[in-house]
Amino acid sequence: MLLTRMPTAALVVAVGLAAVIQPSVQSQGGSIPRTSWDKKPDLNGIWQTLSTANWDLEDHEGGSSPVIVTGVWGARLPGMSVVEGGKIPYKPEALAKREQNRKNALPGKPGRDVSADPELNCFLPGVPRATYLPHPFQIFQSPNRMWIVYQYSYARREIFMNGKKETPIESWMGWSNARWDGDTLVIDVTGLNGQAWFDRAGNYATEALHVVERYTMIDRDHIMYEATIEDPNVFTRPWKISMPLYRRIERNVQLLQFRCAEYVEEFFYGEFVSPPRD
Amino acid sequence: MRHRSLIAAGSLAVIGLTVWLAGAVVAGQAPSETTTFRVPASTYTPPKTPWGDPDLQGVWDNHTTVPMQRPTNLAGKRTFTDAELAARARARGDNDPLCNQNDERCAKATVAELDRLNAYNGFWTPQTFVSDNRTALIEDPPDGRIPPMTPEAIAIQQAHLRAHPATEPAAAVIEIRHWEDYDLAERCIAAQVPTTTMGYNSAQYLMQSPGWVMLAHERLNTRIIPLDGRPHLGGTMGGWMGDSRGRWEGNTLVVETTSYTNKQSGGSVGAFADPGIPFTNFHVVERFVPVGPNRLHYYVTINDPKTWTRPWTFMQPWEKDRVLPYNDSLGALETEPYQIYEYACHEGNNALGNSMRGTLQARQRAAARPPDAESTTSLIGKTEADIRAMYGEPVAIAGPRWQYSTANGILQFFAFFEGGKVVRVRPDDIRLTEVVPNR
Repeated sequence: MLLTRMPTAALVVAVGLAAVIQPSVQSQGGSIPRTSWDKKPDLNGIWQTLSTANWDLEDHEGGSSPVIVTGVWGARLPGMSVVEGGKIPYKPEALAKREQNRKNALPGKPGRDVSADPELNCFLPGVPRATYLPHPFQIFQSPNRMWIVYQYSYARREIFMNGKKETPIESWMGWSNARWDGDTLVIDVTGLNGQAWFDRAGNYATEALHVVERYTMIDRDHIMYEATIEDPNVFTRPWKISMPLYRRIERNVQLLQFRCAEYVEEFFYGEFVSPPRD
Repeated sequence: MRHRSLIAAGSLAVIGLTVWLAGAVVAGQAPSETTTFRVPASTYTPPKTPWGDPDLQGVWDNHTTVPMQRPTNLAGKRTFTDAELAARARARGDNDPLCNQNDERCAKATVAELDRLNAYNGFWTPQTFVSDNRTALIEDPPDGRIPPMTPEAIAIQQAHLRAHPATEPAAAVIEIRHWEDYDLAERCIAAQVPTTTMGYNSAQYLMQSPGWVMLAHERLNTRIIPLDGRPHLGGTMGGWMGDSRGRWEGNTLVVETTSYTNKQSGGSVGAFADPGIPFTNFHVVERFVPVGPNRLHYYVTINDPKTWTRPWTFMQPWEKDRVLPYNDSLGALETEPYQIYEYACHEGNNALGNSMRGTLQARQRAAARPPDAESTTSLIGKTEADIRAMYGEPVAIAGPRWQYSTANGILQFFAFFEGGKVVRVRPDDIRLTEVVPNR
């Protein structure tokens, strides 16, 4: 039995903040690990954010769980905006859609529902959301090759290091072309299908989304992650989020199984079960 | 490597060594009790990564038509001759899927052939395979057959098949009652580990970084394998894919997998174990043996004395960075190197819920089925003139298939002719008055 209360939709009006994209983070010049083969920063390792951006990229207060019976297990964790300037520069009509998404995020009844938050359905998180889900991810780096594998569901990305390749088709996790800008890894992400959301608060984009991620090691165990987000269908200008990534340094840390398709089966299909025949 | 070892190496060295030795004992000794099989050595030396490991990176394809077990009519025959292989390839060519696109063969098809249109269209499945002249993947036992199961495992399997009869290949009627009637891959959770050939998109990207191997199967699985000798997770923490630990023995990557889930699977694509076989006690040793610049032999030994009476080993050849043919949007033949694309299985898996709903609805319809004399079943045996007299000109004719609308506006009604008479109707359980005359 799901007893739901809909989250209070705090209407947020985009004020015309000047589009000041700050100069990107620079490595602090201290000792960062470098690869033996090209002396570029060695991003190999298991990383995770400590942000609560998955709840809401913008400022969000703590709040009670939307499901009464889960008590404080499901409570919303408070966090400050990771958006430069605080607010996402929505076009007015797009902001209305975000508010609609926010209302639909948690339908409060069983069943697969594509108007809900894709995370609720265990759908792939897209970029940049994969980065700040409350799960670790692992970067694999070798000469001219890179993959990022996320613990959540079966999310992963091949990062193309050898020049520009064009996506043949849109996908949830997009198409990632990378280059080095000094000591910063810059990943240009296109081919996103626009079905993923940025967070549980309904922030979204369309298939015109273009994300440029920057991974800058600031010391051995920290990467500053920045993503510039552009979608002329939804936003009045490009905007930027940033947050540090922390190396998971626990002994024997590894990504574990979180095959969430299995965890939504009762939710999706419970109402369709037929009784066994006699 | 240097930086990773700064984090992990010091305190782990002792534990790592212990586990390494323990693993070697398990891998080397357990099979020797019942089998003398040893993986053949390779003289090929692959290039090295900058940190000194053999470099096996790339997209490895394992598409094959060689069955896991040697067919009984080929008992004693380990390999095919070149002439036999050529004949088999020709036979496959004749077996082209029907009506791949809207081609004219559909219009000439018989009723029985049209029935097969429910199958996947042929463009999904690969037409080229990694070369292999053997009659079975199994190398050990030498007869190429999976060893007998233990009575205990048979009992578990039978219980599973009773609970989920739809997974029985021989089931006459597939009735999907529950999501667990489907297998792991159909539920978009995982494929079994180890994974053999899948029907399509069967390749995997092998990625290496200092201390790690990552295997990204195009479909579903991403396996992350530490090489630093750390202990297994234990229990069932490894889940459906188990928990893998790797090491290099010369140029061979050796991966041991345990800690599988205690749930049971209804098989899977690329499954090495049949539906209902419990995963819990699998101890799997994979050996990736490079035998040439673009070829490796993938040996897998499965040891589970609770399930099989002896260990068994299969081998699949893998080929790297294949350039494969495909038809572009205009039908022209092109080629491109195998690229791993996003699979996004769960995201589009509407069929699972719909088929469960279908079972509910089918039961409701069966309960409300009209007598045959009043239903479309009574049209069987009628002539074209009879049908025209009742319902007018068909909305559409496709070969032997006539189509009419129905009163509910969602269903279509189809009558199939052979020899001038109706031989089949779909659906066969609606009232004659529910077929809408086309006048």
